[in-house]
This record gives sequence, structure tokens and C-alpha cells, in this order.
Amino acid sequence: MDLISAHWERRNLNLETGELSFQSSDTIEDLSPGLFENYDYLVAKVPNGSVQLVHDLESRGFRFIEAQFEISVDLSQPTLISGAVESLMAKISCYPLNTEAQVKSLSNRITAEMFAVDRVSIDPELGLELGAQRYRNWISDEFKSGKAFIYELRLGQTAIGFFVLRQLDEKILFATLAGLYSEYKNKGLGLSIVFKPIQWAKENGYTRIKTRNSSNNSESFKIHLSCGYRLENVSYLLRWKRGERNKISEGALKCPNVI
Amino acid sequence: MSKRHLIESAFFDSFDELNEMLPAEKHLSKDSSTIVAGESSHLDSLMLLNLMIAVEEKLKNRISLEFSFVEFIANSKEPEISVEMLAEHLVNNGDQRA
Repeated sequence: MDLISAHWERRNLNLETGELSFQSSDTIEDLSPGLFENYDYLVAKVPNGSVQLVHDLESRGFRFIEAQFEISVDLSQPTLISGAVESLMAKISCYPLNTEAQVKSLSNRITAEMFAVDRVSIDPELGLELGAQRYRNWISDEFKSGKAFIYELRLGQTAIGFFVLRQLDEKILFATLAGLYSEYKNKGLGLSIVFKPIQWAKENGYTRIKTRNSSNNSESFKIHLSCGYRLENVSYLLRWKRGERNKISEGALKCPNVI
Repeated sequence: MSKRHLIESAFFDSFDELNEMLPAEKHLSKDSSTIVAGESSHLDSLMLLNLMIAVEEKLKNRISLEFSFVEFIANSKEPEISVEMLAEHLVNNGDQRA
């Protein structure tokens, strides 16, 4: 089991955060009780199929929050997108955001609704506004890293969304973030935030894009698959939060198996 | 046949094509009040895109009307877009591009 102190989450969530990454050979005995004293918030990543470990973590107060799909697209393969869709996507252009002021302006457009199914946003202990703030900070950090390509998507002169790609090596990118601005959701533009980064990466000589997709965002997952992404791995994510109120819904209390 | 009728036919014929790919409970009703974009639409992002392409193609082939569905929807301030709203726009704007 690996532990990373996620110092950046102190600013995002105002919580001392640790990220635990379990291997399939790990058991609950690998979890040091001292962790619960050192951290306010722990996120545990558990390999696919390790159901016993999931249940053991739940018995220690962790709560399941999402399954995480690791996916990637091989850019040397022919596109799965039809010519008609490509023509439609050609109306959308990528505009680079290279200055701090431009990135700040992008951050200012991040609203609570944009990432409503993110694991922080859907967590009743954290919520939409913290989720949005975390994304604003994330965009800023990506810009400061000097390893990210940040683009705004524009339909004509209208900015509709953005994407962020991080360079992993000379040929491989990681799609860190992407989103449509709130007013352009539910308007059939979702494909653009997956398709346009692929197009950009191909034009710039990259051979693969990797990313992660939450099980809570099935719409995004479907779009990624339609653009040629393939599933590589699945993990379960659980989280523990100090002082969490033990909220059990009224319906659950009526279930005979709940004590 | 009126222009409005021809425009609505382009939508409803496209609905037939999409309904073959949609589960019964999500079938699009061939009614001008059907919402095609917005929170209560039965179409996900990819299906809406397919609808846009099918309708644009039919309008072009049948009545030589060039229309950018995606630009109309993106620029609309309305939270939901119905067939009726699109037809109204196209009737009033003649052969102009949206």
C-alpha cells in the first residue's frame, strides 16, 4: 500500500488529505491506525475485484464514492467518428490559453454545476462549491506546472468549454480536465471536449492520450468510447472523513439487515 | 405542402431513424412540442449530434435549406429547444443560415 500526502487538497478542501493506493495483495492489516490521527480525509484506491478489502474499509468508516476507469486512445488507429460528425466538429476551434490572465478568466467561468458528478461535488460531506473551487485551483496548478496545454473551445466567437492536456512524455498526453461551460450543457456539444483534444494531439505528433473517467459520469464514458478510447483498468475509490456524521437514510433503517 | 410542414417532416423522419437506436421508453414522439435539447430531452449528447446531422442533411436535400443546428442551439438562450421552436426559426428566417 502506498500513501501520498495530498498537500494540495489542504488548499482545495481545507482538509489534511492522504491518498492510499492498495495493491491486490494488500489487506486491511496494511492500514495503520495512526493514519486516522494524522489525516482529516483519506481517499483509498482499491484494485478491481478486491471486494473483501472494500468491505473491510467500509467497516473502518470508509464510504464507496466511485469506480474509476483508466482509459486510453491509440492515435495511430483510424478515427471512429463519421465524416458528418467531423464536419460538424470542424465548426469548433481550439484557442490556446497561454497567459495567466487568460487562465484566470477560464477559472472564473468554472461554476458549481459544471462538474456536478465529480467525486468531491457528489460527496454530501463536501459538495458542489468545494468541487468547483478544487477545479479552479487544479487549472491554475496545471498552468503553473509548465507541462500543460490549455485550450478554450470556441464555436464561432463563442467560448463553449475547455480542455487541459498534460505531457507525460514526447509522445503521450494525459487528459487532465475538460468541460463545457454551464450554459452549453445539454446542447449536443459534449463530443467536442473529447474529440478536439484527440484532433489536436494527432496534429502535434502525439501517439496516445490517457485519462480517467468516473463511473458517476456515464455520459462522458460513452463519449470517450465513441471516440476510440479503450478500457485499461478499473479501480474502486472510497473515502473516509474525520467527524463524518453517520448518515443513514430512513429507507435503509427499515431494511432488516441494517442494525 | 407548407414550408413548416416540410421542416417538421425532416425532424420526424430523423426521429424514425433515431428511434431504431433508442430503447422504447426513450423514443422521440413525432410531435412539434418534443424537446430535442435541454434537461428534459430524451437524447444524450451523441444522439443529439446524430439528430443534428440527420436533420441538416434532410433540410439541405429536400428544400435546399442550409442550417447549422449546432450553432442555433449553442447560441439560443432558451434552456430547452423543441421542434416547434426550430421550425419557427427556420420559417421566419427563410433561406438564411442560422
